[in-house]
Amino acid sequence: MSISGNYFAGVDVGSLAAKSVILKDGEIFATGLVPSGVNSVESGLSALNLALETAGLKKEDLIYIVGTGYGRVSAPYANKAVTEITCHAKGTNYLHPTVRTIIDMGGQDCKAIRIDQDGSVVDFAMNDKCAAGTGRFLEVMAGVFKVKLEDLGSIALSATDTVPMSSTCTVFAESETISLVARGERPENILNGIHHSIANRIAGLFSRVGIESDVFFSGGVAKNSGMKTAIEQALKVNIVKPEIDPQLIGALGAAVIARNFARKEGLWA
Amino acid sequence: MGLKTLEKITAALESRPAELEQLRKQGKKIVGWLAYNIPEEIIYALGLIPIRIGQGGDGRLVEVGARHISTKNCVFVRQVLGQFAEKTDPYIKQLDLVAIDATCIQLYRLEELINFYFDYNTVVLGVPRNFATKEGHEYFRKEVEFFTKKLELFAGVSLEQSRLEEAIKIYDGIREAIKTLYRYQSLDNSLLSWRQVASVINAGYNLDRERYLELLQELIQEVEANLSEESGTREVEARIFLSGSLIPPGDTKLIDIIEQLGGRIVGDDLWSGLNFFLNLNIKEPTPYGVADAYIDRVPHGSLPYLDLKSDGRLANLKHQIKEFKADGVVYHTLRYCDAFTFKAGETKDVLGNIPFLEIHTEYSGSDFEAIRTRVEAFIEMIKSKKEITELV
Amino acid sequence: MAITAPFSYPESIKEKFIATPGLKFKDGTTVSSAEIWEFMTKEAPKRFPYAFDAGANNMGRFSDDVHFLSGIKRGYLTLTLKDRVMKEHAAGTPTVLVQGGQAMDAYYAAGGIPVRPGLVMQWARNMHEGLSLRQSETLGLNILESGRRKISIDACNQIAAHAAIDNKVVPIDLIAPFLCLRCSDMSFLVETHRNREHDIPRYLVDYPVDHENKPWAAEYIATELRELIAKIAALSGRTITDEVIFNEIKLENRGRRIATEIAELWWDAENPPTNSTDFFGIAFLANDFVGDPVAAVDLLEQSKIEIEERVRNNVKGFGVPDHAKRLYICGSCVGPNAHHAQTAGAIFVGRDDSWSCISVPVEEEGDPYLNIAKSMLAYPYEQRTEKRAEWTADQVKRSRADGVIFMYQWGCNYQSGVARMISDIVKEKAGVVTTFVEVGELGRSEATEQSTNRVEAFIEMV
Repeated sequence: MSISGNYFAGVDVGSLAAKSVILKDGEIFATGLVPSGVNSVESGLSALNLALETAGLKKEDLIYIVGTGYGRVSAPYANKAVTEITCHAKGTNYLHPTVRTIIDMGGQDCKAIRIDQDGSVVDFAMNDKCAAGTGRFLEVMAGVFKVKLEDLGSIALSATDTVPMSSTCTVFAESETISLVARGERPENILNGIHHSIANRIAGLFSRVGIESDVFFSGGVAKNSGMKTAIEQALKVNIVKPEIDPQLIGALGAAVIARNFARKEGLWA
Repeated sequence: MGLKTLEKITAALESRPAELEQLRKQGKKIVGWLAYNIPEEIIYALGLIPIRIGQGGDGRLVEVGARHISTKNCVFVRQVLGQFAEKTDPYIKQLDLVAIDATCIQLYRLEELINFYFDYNTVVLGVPRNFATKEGHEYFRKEVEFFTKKLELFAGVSLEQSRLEEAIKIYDGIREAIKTLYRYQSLDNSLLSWRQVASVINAGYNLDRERYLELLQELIQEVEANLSEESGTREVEARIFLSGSLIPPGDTKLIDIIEQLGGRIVGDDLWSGLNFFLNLNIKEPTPYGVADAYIDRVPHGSLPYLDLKSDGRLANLKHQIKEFKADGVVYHTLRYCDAFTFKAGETKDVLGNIPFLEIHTEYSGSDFEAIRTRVEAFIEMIKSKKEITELV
Repeated sequence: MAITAPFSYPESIKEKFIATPGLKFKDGTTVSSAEIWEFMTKEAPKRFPYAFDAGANNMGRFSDDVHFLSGIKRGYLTLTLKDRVMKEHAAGTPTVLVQGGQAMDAYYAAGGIPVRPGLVMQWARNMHEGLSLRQSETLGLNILESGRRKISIDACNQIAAHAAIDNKVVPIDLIAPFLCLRCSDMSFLVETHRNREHDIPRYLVDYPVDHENKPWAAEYIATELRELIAKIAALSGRTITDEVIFNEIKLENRGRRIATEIAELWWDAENPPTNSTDFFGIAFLANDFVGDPVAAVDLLEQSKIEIEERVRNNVKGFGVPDHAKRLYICGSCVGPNAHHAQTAGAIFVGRDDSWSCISVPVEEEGDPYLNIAKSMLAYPYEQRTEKRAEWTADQVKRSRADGVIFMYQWGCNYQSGVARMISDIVKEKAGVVTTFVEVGELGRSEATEQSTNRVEAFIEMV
């Protein structure tokens, strides 16, 4: 163990990216983010190794590792696995203790999470199948318009109109989009409609759990400015500005939980 | 140490299809039936053999069934249709008549399709949507009377009051026994689990009713004899109550997930589970008496009820959650089961502070991981609330 | 999007139009054709520009056959629905949410105005005037979304009407539909109102399944009808007698009879005397009455005269393709776009839903409650599916259809469940090609590629 600090790590393996955060005594020390491959063990290890490299540490220097995300079920490098719902709650609370509501949009699902002042989950709801409200939908649309995923938001924000998106299915929405373009609709207006359609799905989740300020937007899709605006309009809220890359929140929460587990198990005082 | 009677029940079930074959050769007729309001006592009292049909959990059969209906219909209905299409199920292929009630309108459609596409004799029992009104009761009495006449024609005998009285006695016995078993499975010091009670209920759909009652009584005795002395100091567990759409035999996905993640199912208000056995008091051994008793039980979610405060199904749900000391409710809804899906938000509102998770699913395995995540987060949430020391 | 010039009625037909009779209303008032013309050419285009969108995607687009003058008056009734209902409501007439495809006699007899979900949404959208088609559709979509958010994404589009009521977009005094077999969701959607802040009273007129040879089924409905009419009369203040109910029944029977006669004429004509839009409008008027049965029946009489003349002179409806492929449409709440179909070479010759409603008159003597109950139970659309399908096959033969399209909505558990069985039976008994199409589009005028594709491919195949 390094004599200069106590290190804990969280690894979040999702459908699109694997993320890792290392805490030193309670401060964020290093992070890692890599695209997910088919093998979730390898993806998780890649993200973790990237963070370790940045930190100048070895895996043995870590006191405790918690795995989360869909890849958590096969994370042999982790001491324990915890769902990303609980991790997002802890991670958000760690950085923004006034937040009481989290909107998380990942590659294949979206979540509405209510938390208390300690970052414990009070209630949550997630999208059902085929509700066209996820990062994957945006990825498909970026492909249709041949633009970079990270540019989708700003393109949507430049729209002068909103073309309503009809389909409840991502696959069908793709063909609808092509026919709209053929009819002369402007790409930015279509994209604006798509963002609003997704925001509507999110709003549907919140009808179950309710919203309380402050509100935080986590997950990869949170980096999409168009999505942030559409959600703010749909939910009539203001979203707090994230202190770190919102895609890392799950891994951060896992690291916080790792620290707590370590304390509970007597591995650290 | 397992419960020996459960093994006996399993063995009885295994030999039942062959037994039915023999009975048919002797001239006995088998009536397959679904679902909540079919008066089984009348079928039994006419000397017919009632077999409750319908399984879930098989994505392949759902696809087969969907060819005759649509993908926009309840997965259970689609699978049952698939079972009738393939006729490999040992019970389905031995049915002489199919009796379906119209409590759930999609099941009524099932009857029409079975009759048209698969050439089964069918009979429908109409059920009033306005089940709480005087005219609804009147209508249902006439329906049960008509249903009885049709069965009499089919059976070739008239319904005798003494036979009906006997049948009612047996079924009352079965109902009491199931209620007793439910009480035991929720205790910390009994060997019986909810899952075992569910399998016993499923077995009962197919077994000879008198034999079944005997087995149930044996099981109760065995459970009572094996109650442990300790009052139960189990580690912090998440006591889960199941509500929502039916969970028929064969559909174990959600149950498996809950148990694998350390949740403990302690009760349910499913119409395919406990509710079926509650509050059924046949005062008069006549078709009218049977009709009144059936329509006055805990209401089925497919029958609309327009006043929230006096809703009997919700009142029962609240009561059972307390009775079984549940920590949280998993509200299971099948895709396109609008009766329960539309009421998910309302049920959550009515139940108030108790943790509530809706799982909206179908019979394919593709959402296994997604459901796992939701249930796991839910159990984490419950446990962290319950623990004295902080988990995280 | 290509800008199309808005639809407008040409000045060249004005003189002929204003020479025709106007319309009478149930309150005794009348409107002249000159006033209707003024409204449809000056006032309505300003207030409801969406209705005058000439794009082919506009499902509610006016018929291009401007010489079919009754069609213009039908447009007038549709666009004045909001004004008329609001005026009556302000004067104390209760508005009642009903189902599409049910009998309306009881509601009007009791002094109420029955509004089906489709009309509720049209009314809701018209509460905001001056909207373009996209704006109007977006408004409708937002209402639909709010409903889905509260309840479920699995719900059919009908949830929009319930959301409009819930959100107080339109004033509804009583929610009291028949629970016909056509709809899987109506009962559950009415039920959702019990968990709302508004406390609009609700009542369900149950419709028993499998009712053939069961006199108690009619008695059950008749008892409920007494209850229903009493509830509405308590709100309207009308004194109800058997005579009052029979007067309404006789009026609506007249409408049903005229519509049926028109259908027979139309089907027998060598050339379709109107296009699909105008033809379907006939059956619609005779079932829905657009808030005023007196006006609707008056218009049906005028329509019959026009169509008789066209048939006499072998006039083909404007825009109807030569050797048009004749398609019979099955299903409720959703239908293919008539304009697209026309461009693709087809004409719609009938719709089982609407035709079923107009084909059964109510007996005009005896117990009016029992008679309405018996007529509802006799609707071909509401029989056991095999029987319904046989009737549909007869309709297909009668209308000389070349093919059948069965359309149903996302979220409809009912029509979806019978589509295949009915298509199979019709194919066998009527010897025509059939197809069924699920419509998954949330709105109706945007992004309809999926449905349009399938319908056009079918037309090419026929």
